[in-house]
Amino acid sequence: MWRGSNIRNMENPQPENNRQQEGRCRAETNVWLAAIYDTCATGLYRYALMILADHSAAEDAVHQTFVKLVASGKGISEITSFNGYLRNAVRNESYRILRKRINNDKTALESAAILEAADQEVSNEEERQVLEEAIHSLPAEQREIIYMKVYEQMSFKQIASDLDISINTAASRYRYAIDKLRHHLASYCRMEGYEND
Amino acid sequence: MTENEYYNEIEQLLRNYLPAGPSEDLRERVLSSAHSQSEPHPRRRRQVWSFRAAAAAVLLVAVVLRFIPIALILATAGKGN
Repeated sequence: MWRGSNIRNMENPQPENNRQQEGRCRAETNVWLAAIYDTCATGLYRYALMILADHSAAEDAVHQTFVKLVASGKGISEITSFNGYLRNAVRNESYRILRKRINNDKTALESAAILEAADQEVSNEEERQVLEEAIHSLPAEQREIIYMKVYEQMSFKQIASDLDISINTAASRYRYAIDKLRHHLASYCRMEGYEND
Repeated sequence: MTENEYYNEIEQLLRNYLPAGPSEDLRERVLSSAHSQSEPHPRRRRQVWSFRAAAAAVLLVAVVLRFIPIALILATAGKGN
């Protein structure tokens, strides 16, 4: 009798109570959240940083994106293109912060550098500063397209599809951005031996 | 200068530098607060309960008021008979 009930208990373990279930769900969510963060966060942060040109605002955008992802209850299996989904979410969050900043006009921009040398051996601090100033002078939409084209090496077709704009608009936005950068960098480029047209 | 050269020069200059990555703290911040911020704030939870209680009270008063005239009519009709 005693043995039988013991075996029954082993076959049908006691159901988890709500607290245990909640704890297990959290632990599982933390595992996949950490995996997604480790895979995507650097790219997402750089994207937000190029749109916002401000470290703390970029951190807020990425942070809010992950908070909303958890709150939505969506799992990895439910989102077919995870990177695309997160990129879109970070973009929306970044522009929301940007609109808020323009409306309030209270948030002072940080002076921390947004660009770092890709290769420390060939880095030139003066060049970096000039380039950073030039990037700061661009509007957010143009900084965004520079990031997608130069750093993500996306085609105009991909950019147009991601941003829901025409290919011509994407190309002309990029052209304007390059023109402005060239204009801003003109004196430095001449000094360093770059040819201006 | 061709259009490609026009772009390549600046693109090459830009590629010498990368937008900075996130700080170490951001990972901890995301993982620790993702749950707490996705759940309703305790104050918000209390507000929801107070709204529910108020709605129930209003409903009860409405039902009582709806039946008072009927009860009065029935009472006067009973007296008349």
